[in-house]
Amino acid sequence: MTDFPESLFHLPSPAYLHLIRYILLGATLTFFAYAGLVLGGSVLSVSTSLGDRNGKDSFVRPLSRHFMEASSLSLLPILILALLPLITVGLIATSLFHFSLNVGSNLWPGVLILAVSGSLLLLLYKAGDPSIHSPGTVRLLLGGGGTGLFFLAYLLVIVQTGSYMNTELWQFSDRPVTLFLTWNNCARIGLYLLLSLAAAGARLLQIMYGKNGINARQGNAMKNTAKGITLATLLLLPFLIVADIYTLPTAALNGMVYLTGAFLLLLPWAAVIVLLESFRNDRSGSGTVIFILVILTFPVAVTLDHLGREQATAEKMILLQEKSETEKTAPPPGAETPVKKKQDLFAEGENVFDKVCSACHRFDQKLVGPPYNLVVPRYRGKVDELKAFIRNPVKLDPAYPAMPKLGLKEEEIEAVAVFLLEKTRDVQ
Amino acid sequence: MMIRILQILITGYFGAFLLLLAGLGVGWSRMNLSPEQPIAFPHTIHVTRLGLPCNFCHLYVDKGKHATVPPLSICMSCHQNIATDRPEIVKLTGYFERGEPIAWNRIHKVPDFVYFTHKRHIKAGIDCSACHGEIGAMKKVWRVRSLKMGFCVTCHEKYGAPQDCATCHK
Ligand code: HEC
Ligand code: HEC
Ligand code: HEC
Ligand code: HEC
Ligand code: HEC
Ligand code: HEC
Repeated sequence: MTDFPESLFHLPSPAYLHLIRYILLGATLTFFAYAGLVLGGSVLSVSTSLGDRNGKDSFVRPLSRHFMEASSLSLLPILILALLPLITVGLIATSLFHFSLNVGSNLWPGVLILAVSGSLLLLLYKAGDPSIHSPGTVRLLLGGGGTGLFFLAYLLVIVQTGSYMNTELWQFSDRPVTLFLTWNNCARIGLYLLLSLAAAGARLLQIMYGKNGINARQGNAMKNTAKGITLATLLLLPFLIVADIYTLPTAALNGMVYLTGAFLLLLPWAAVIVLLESFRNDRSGSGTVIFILVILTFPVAVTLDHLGREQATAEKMILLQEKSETEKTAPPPGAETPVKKKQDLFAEGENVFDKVCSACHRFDQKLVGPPYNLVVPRYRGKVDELKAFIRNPVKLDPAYPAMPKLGLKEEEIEAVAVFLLEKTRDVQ
Repeated sequence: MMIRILQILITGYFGAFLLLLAGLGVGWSRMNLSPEQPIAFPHTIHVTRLGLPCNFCHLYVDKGKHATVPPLSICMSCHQNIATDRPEIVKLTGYFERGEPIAWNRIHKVPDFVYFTHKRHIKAGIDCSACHGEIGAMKKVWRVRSLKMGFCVTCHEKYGAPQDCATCHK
């Protein structure tokens, strides 16, 4: 890790830092849910039309179109709910995690490119009416390409956010495969993809309940297709929820994570119960209820990620906060640093003494280390020697333990040396 | 009727996963990653604020197999005079005067059949945080790594350290 990129980004101030964590949460909340719906709908639409190359089949063709309708893809929402959050998080998380926490591998730029081009192709795919304009193959290429790109973007967001909570792998950040290819990421990929399909299925069901015009037999067949997809994916979901929590890194675990996991199981359960009920009592409201239950599962899954991430990075955040606080008090880089006046140095030195040295030293009394009044006068006129000792203490007096190396900054060493000499000036 | 039965089955199905999850949760809390200590020793003050290096207290971390938790004499070299009125330090002084060693609860422990040594790792330039997390920011130490075999082996693989069984199982 060179210093170069770090110098491009200023460390965020503590208040800003706090904000950033919630921006990441907010962005992933909208992104995962909406982009998941788009992805699920597109995957289902494209894969159904694969079975109907020339777009003639009277069941498959409308089904494919309805799946695209279920994906709820359109220009404004995709800009606001998917791409905008990505851009915000991409910019911010890049500066926060990549440069400040040294997570070297950074997928956000790639995510953005894939997501933008994927949604463009998908928008074109959705706009083209197969019966009039484009021949089937071109449409399929648009749909397949768009779905593929969008799918990759979704995948990368999942593994990137997963890597933030796997602190024990950050030391391998120059090896993306190690960092990203974890069992936990595999489980999360499965979880979000299943949820996406379930959401698209549930949305299709909701749409079918609202459509009255089409012939009843076809409508029923489509409803049943939607129910089948939703049911199958929801039933597989618990495996992945448990796998996700089981594979979380030790550092990311806490009580809230388990509680959220339990809640994550309850929503799909409720959706399945309502869905089964609809086989007996087919009321048009059930489509909406099922869809809401499924789409609400996304924010819970994202909250689970968030809690794990907060837990795993808690200490890093504390250190970062302290680092940014000391940086804030330091003069900005490049600003002229006028020669400090002696009083300033004295005051600064007193500060260092209070904070660090006073743990072991007094002026007139032996503590862990010798009293300054005894040892400092030897350094009169030899401030550089004193500074050298403080910078890198050597074992001197057998009557004392060795003084540890304290890791002070050069300015602090300068200041405290001046302070000590000044304070002991009148000692005989 | 059929539907009712299915609904009950489904509830049982999800309930089983809920139980599994609860089991995982209980297992996690039984691992007790952060046991209570006889004295609430804050690494935050000593490491981050005072800037003491780790081996100031963990004397043998770069010299031997065990890092060792510091003897009371190290604490008392400062706490004979510092913060002597705080309840935790009063407790500390009590131990010291009675000549009784503090029974710190172990947090990191590999099973007896595993051979682990700090010295080789520190000499190889590996940071404490790779295996212990950011101790300097923990008010109370907790274990943030699994210390399972996979954890050790993954890193050995990356650094090209020995991976044959006899390295860690003597
Ligand atoms: C952890 C305890 C500790 C802290 C903190 C500490 N010292 Fe010391 N200091 C010692 C000990 C012990 C000695 C005696 C070392 C020896 O003689 O080998 C010593 C010795 C010294 C000496 C005398 C060197 C000599 O020539 O005999 C100076 C000067 C000194 N310290 C300055 C500082 C300053 C300045 C700070 C704060 C920036 C500081 N010390 C912080 C423990 C400490
Ligand atoms: C002032 C003395 C002191 C310093 C400095 C210090 N420690 Fe400790 N450390 C202790 C004491 C006392 C304990 C036992 C009490 C506890 O676990 O909180 C301990 C416990 C630990 C443990 C848990 C041991 C176990 O039971 O598994 C780890 C890990 C640890 N320290 C790491 C570090 C690291 C890393 C540093 C340097 C960043 C450090 N310590 C600096 C005094 C110190
Ligand atoms: C280099 C000197 C030094 C050493 C060695 C040291 N301490 Fe401290 N300790 C301090 C200072 C300074 C404080 C901060 C006191 C304050 O808040 O004013 C402190 C604070 C504490 C506190 C918190 C007191 C409170 O309730 O606010 C505890 C507990 C403590 N130390 C225990 C220990 C133990 C146990 C050891 C031995 C492993 C130890 N210390 C070794 C300097 C030291
Ligand atoms: C390669 C991983 C690794 C690194 C690096 C590492 N530790 Fe440990 N540490 C362990 C393991 C594993 C244990 C449990 C050892 C056992 O059960 O014998 C442990 C135990 C400890 C203990 C308590 C038990 C004991 O050995 O006395 C302390 C204290 C400790 N480490 C401090 C440190 C400090 C300080 C550093 C950095 C200078 C450090 N460790 C670096 C893996 C590591
Ligand atoms: C962060 C990386 C890392 C982790 C985690 C790690 N090790 Fe190591 N280990 C190393 C490196 C690097 C070496 C090689 C040191 C050398 O070449 O001297 C090493 C060497 C060793 C050795 C000495 C090998 C020899 O030739 O004698 C043993 C034993 C060992 N490790 C055991 C463990 C155990 C047990 C664990 C898990 C608790 C563990 N290590 C975790 C990096 C790691
Ligand atoms: C880098 C160190 C390391 C190496 C190399 C290593 N192990 Fe282990 N092994 C461990 C640790 C640490 C544990 C303890 C895991 C725990 O706490 O449950 C362990 C546990 C085990 C266990 C007990 C079951 C379990 O997983 O808890 C078996 C069996 C085992 N190892 C076999 C092997 C074999 C066979 C090899 C050679 C292919 C090997 N180990 C190489 C570190 C190592």
